[in-house]
Amino acid sequence: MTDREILELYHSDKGGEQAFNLIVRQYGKKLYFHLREIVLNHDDADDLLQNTFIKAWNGLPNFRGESGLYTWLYRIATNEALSFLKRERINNKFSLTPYETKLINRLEDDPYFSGEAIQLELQKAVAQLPDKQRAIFSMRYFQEMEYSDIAQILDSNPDAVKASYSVAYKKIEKELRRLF
Amino acid sequence: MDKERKINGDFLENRLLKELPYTLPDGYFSSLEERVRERTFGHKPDGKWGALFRSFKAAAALAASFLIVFGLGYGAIKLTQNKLAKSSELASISKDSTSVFENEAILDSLAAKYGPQNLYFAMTNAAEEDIEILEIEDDSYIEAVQEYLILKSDSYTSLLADEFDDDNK
Repeated sequence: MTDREILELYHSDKGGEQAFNLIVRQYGKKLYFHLREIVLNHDDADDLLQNTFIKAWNGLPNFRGESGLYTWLYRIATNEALSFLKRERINNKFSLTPYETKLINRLEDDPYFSGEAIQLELQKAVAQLPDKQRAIFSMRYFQEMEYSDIAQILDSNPDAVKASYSVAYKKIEKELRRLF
Repeated sequence: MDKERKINGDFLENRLLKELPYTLPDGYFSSLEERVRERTFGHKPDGKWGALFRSFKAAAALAASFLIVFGLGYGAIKLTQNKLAKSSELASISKDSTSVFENEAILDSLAAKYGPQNLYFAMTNAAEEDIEILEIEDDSYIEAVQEYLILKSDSYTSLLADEFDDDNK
């Protein structure tokens, strides 16, 4: 079902919940991995995914379709993830362990991580990127999204996104070449 | 062959690195819909009327804020006005009550010019400009002079009494 058809169903009489279930079914997986790439942890990604859908449900009556449903949902999810990381960094302000180190430790202890050593090293390098840059890197590198779509999600411009991705890419490549 | 050894050339463009290295709890996505539904439909969407109600609520809150600010402003203005009115009344009263003292310097100069005992005479024969300066209406100057003399000293009071007696002889 297309986004347009889902939205039509949503606006039809008694179609709201059915349309919403379709949205969860259609976007749940994509949004989960998008969130997990940013927060690098299953439990946090799960919480944020549910928050994203609650916000989407509450925001749907005012959704005018000016951006695509896909972009709108990604924007909610990304904002949720970035706000979460911001709060986490604030909470970690007085800790002796830097937040990036905590992220890496969590990644290493995550029972739901199944990658090879080099994949773990890649994730560790990604974890050291600034939060927004990590979101950009994730969307472009793993999800192969267009710069223009990423820019729309982050309310930025494609050139800025491209520049940020390029910086992140070089940092990670340098780090991995040093290790392997 | 070890997967890591496959990585060469354009390092990061290797497909292995682009694979997501995550697993999930069993049945995570199949139960996701149910879990989201449980949490979400506890929060019923507002719909059009709900959105309208929320807009109205926001507008009502804004209007209430304006009313409170207006009320506070109005109250402050009213209080200030009352105070101003009272203070102008007081100013007027004080002006009246100090009329003798305001005229004191002029009466002093007249008394010095004509002598205190001749003050009544002096007043009646004072130059027009002196009377004008006194700001005393018509014949009320006698009362002003009496007040002046009583206030000035006992000798003036006795002088006044003597003159009174002389007049009534």
